[in-house]
Amino acid sequence: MNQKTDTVISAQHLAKRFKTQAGNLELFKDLNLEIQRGETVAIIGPSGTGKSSLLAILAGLDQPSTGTILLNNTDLEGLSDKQRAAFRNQHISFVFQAFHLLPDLTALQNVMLPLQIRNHKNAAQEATHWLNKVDLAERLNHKPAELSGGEQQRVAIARSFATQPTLLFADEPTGNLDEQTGEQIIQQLFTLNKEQNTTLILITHDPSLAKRCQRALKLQNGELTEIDL
Amino acid sequence: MSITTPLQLAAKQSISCLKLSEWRALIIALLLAVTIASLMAVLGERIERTLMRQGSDILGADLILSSSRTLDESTLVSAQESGITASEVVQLGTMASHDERFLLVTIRALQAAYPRGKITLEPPTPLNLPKPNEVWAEQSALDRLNLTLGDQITLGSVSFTLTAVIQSAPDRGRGFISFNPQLIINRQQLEQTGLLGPGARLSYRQLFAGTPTQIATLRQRLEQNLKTGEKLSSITSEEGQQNSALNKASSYLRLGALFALLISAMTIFLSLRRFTQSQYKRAALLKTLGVSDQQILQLYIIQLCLAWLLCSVAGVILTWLLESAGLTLLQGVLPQPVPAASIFTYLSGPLLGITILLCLGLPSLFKLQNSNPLQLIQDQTAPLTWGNKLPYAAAMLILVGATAWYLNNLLLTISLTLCLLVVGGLLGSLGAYLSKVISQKFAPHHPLGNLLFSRVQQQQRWYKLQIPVICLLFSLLSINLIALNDLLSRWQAQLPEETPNHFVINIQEWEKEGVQTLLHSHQIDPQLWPIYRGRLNAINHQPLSEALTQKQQDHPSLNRELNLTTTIQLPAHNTLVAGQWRASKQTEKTDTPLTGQVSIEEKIASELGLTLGDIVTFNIGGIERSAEVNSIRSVQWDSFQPNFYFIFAPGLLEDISASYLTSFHLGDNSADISRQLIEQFPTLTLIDVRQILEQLQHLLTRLSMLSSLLMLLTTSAGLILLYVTLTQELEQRRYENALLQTLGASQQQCKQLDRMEMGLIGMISGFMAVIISELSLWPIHQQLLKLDPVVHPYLWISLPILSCGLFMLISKLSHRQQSLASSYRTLISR
Ligand SMILES: Nc1ncnc2c1ncn2[C@@H]1O[C@H](COP(=O)(O)OP(=O)(O)OP(=O)(O)O)[C@@H](O)[C@H]1O
Ligand SMILES: [Mg+2]
Repeated sequence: MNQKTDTVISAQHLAKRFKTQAGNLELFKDLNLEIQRGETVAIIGPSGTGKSSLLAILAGLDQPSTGTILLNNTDLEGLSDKQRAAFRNQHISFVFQAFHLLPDLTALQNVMLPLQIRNHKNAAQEATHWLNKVDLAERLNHKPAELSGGEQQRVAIARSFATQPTLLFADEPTGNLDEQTGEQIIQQLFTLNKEQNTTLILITHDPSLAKRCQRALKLQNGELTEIDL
Repeated sequence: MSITTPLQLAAKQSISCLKLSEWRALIIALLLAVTIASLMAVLGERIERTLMRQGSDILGADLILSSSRTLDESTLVSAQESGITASEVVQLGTMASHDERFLLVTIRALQAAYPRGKITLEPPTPLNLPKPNEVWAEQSALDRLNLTLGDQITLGSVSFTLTAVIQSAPDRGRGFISFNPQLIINRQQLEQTGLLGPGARLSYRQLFAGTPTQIATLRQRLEQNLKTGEKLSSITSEEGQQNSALNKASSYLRLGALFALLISAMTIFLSLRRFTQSQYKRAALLKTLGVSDQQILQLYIIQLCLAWLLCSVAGVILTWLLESAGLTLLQGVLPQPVPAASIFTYLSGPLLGITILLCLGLPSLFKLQNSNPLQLIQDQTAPLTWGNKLPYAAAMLILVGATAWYLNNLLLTISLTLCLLVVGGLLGSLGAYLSKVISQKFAPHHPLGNLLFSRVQQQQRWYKLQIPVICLLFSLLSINLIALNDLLSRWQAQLPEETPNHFVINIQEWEKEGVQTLLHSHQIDPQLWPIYRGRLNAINHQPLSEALTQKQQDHPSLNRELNLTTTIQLPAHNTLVAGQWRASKQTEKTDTPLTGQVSIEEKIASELGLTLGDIVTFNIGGIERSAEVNSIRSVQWDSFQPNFYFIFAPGLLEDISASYLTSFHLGDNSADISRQLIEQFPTLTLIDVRQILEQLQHLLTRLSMLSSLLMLLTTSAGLILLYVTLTQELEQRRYENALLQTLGASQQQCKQLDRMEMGLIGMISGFMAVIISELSLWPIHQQLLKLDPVVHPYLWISLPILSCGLFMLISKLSHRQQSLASSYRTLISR
């Protein structure tokens, strides 16, 4: 029973197919996956195998063609659009390769966005707290253009933790950064993850980053295999 | 493998760009601009020509040379030789008699048919001038002389047979002379009547009609050889109602076309900006692939030109289709056939399109050319610097020049442009500021309030550009609508239901009471104006030859007797422009000669150089009277009310005998009252102007319908452009919404957020548009339409609400379901 409540992602017989002009494109079929709370999981694999597509399904943004998936013991299939959105807002966060900060909002305002979606009363205070945590206390009122790539990604990380999610998904979070900056970012991500007991699922092409995760999964030829690094 | 030419590359790029909303919007805007500009020009020209011709139909000619003396036969002949239709009319006032009854009539002796217009007769005949020995007469002559068709009328020493009743005729003239019943005879018989002897009040007119160029050449030639007493007139020079109405309508046409032009230019500007912005990365990429700056510029210029070519062809075809549709719609209204427009007019849209495109496009393209591969990484667009702004300034200058040429009014153009610039900047800042303040105040009161505030902050930069544009669009539409509305109501007010359609002149002192009693018995209470016939003799006690310049001495109001009057109250259709209306009766009559007070009409005052305090001396039937100018009035000449150049304060002329004039409106029972009047007072003259009034009302109705149609076109263009702009705007929100959705916002929330934002911007734009409209309507009314400016309270409420609603509606209509998966795709593929 206890074991079950700690499973935050439970996916069974997942398949994803796209209809394209060239015909049906099947990315994978019969994928099974369980992820426990607090785990850090890396997904690796060649380009175009469907890592991002899988991530979208695991995060409840896309539906699998067949198969079932429980997020935090909830089947999103049965929820309304509004409930699903509320669920995502409460449990799920993202970090993107391209940061995706709104260019005309300050760092603070960017971090406040997910809190404003849930109409949080002290959004500004909360956001400031998280920007402090990523060492950007001095840069609250700077716009993204005035920040370096690494700093922008740290704002994005603050934004993703501000809602205190259960699940944090990151799609190549260091892809746009140089090695050193990438390392700092990863450091920050892992530290906060540990502190918050968040479950981190990240896609990466970087074996050394994958190595730092507790588990590594390789997606290739439609098969998801657990690998040892 | 063959090398791709820049043209092929540009063509490919144009096609691949079709999936960009910015490029599609640009093409639609360009197509609209081309179509509207061409359509307005073509319709405007064809309709203006039609109306001109109709005006000419009323005059009977395009150009008229008139004199009280005989005119040179050779002018007529030489005009005819150059292909112009020409003919001569002699007009005279005389007595007609039948069966012991006498009547003062105006005779027109025609040599040939009128070059323009048609005489309609009852019974209808195919002839366009009477046979010798025959006469055509107006109904009023039949009534007054107790005539029926076939009766004999004696004019001078010849007796004519009445063969037809004139229903309407061109060249009826204006002024009191034209109020006499009119008769038309053949010129051949004129001499025999013996009416041409000395002392006859004659008017000779040569009438010409031809193509505009022929007429222009002829006019120039005639102007150079004008003898004293000769006068040239045409529909454009003629002062009067058809003309002023026509001028207003054509001003309005131009205004409408100008607005459509401005609206299209704004949309093209916006979509171009968005398009070039979307192309920065591509341009930067091309550079990293080794394409030179020059080649990039060339590529995009060719691409724009291709788009222009496509839009021009499509636009001209569309123009042609819409024009046919429009004219079909107007078929019952416009006299047929409608003259064709010149080919050049069809090309005005494409011409304008390329001007706007290049003027507004080149500066952005220069920026593209300077795009930096760094932008590939930074995802930022280059900031505006002075170097970047310079081409915009040049483009503005060219546009202003084009507008000035088009409007034919440099002052108006410059003031419009300056206003546009200053106001645009102010509006942008004010609008953006207002949006921030309002959304902040609103934030705690709605679950999405804070999000809206963030959205508004995120879009500030864009509002600074977008709000002024939308605001100006709304202002243009409301100005257009209001100008039209005011114009229409002015036309209506000009000729209200109760416009006097009968004038009675020559009422003698002793008949005054009788006439009044008779009219009272028919519930008519007219004002009786005393009429003194006087000649201006001296100004400030100097004879005219000393007081006036040679040119002023030729003024038509001198050298003849003017109608003078006295009244206690300032007439209702007069407005005081200087001095004071002094109506108190002057009691002291000690000075000789008497000095009284006189109020004069504005135009004659300026033409004769008269100002307040000047003394004018009149010779009234041999008696000299002087008066000091104490006020200057503007007079609404087209009001169909008795109007006077000189109005004396009561007292000064009291001892001089006067006749009286009155005017009133008669409904359907008019025949009855007219007959009673004439029977009881056989010496007075009753003038029936119903025919003229009807002609005029008909013209005004046509003009109103036409202006409304054009308003409809401009408005639909404006709405389409608004739709294009807003959809584009909402398209930009897709990225933001994608992000919000991954952050946990529902589609519903995003939709609502869009709608709230649009509503807010709509309301702010609407509100500021009201202010702009009111401010700009002032000069437009004064300068262009010559109407009195007024404030429009209903606008202050309706426009903000309307635009708020409209924005929300468009946001609703153009909302596209944005699935979560595709949102996510947007974000990972950027
Ligand atoms: N909505 C869609 N319709 C059709 N094909 C799609 C759709 N979404 C993704 N694909 C295709 O699925 C395949 C996998 O895409 P995905 O982005 O998941 O790959 P990836 O493993 O993340 O690659 P990369 O490492 O390059 O990011 C690609 O070939 C992509 O074109
Ligand atoms: Mg991917």
